[in-house]
Amino acid sequence: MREMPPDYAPVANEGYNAYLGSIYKKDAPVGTPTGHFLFDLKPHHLNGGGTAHGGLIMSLLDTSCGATVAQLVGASGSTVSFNCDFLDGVQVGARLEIAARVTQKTKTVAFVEGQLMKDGNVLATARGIWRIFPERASA
Amino acid sequence: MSSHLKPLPPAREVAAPPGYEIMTLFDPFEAFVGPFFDKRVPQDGPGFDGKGELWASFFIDERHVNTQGICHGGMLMSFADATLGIIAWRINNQNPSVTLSMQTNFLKAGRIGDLVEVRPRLERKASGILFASGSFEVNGEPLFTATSLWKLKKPS
Repeated sequence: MREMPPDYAPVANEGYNAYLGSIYKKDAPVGTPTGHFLFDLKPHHLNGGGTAHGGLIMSLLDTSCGATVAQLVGASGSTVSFNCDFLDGVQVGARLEIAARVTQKTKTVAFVEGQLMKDGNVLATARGIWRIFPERASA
Repeated sequence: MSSHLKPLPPAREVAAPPGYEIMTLFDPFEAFVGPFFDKRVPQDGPGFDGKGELWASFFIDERHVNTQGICHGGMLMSFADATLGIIAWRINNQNPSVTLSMQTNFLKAGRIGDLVEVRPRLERKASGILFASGSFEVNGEPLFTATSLWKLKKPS
């Protein structure tokens, strides 16, 4: 498996994301509204047809959008609503890229868009709303 | 298509709750996050295929939670994709189908030990397209809702 670029680090070391296999997030300062992520697709991520399971795709987009909200706000939020469209399938061994962007932030919620791609081709798109807790951000 | 698929053992052994059986899984990802459970309850209604209301469930365990100990949204969406997909699979005569779109709302937080239950609902089958939805509940209280759109593939 290819090495990850040096400016990417796993988003979580425990729980669901660690169990799935690491999603790597590109370093960016707090306050940045965009996030970039990488993930290597392995055999246990597939459906019976040999392509990435829809649940895995939504998990990657949910995590990436949520991590981008956390990066912007400085504290993690929680998904309230999430919609995903599946444009194309992808086979094992692929390195997936996820790009997420917070399009609007109020005192209590953030609106986020995400795209999951392979080699620049969009495979899935997502939009979601996150409840945010800016008071939890460490100064 | 279904004939060459082999049932996969779930990644860990978890006893089925009363009334349920271990669901037969064919997708490696579902076996990885499973087991899931299912049952048919004819007295609850005829269900989408006239064989009794389908119930499906899973126990939230430490594999499924985020760093705050709350069930990850991705896990609930994975369970939704798997269980609403049962309808597409059955209605399409066990030929494959693909998720085109899913819409979800997260009403409450799920925690380790919670049994998440759903009765997947067939909304409509049109030509090559199917609509399915579900309310995912813990102790009868809504946790998460999903609606979905599926493309039914022809036999290969």
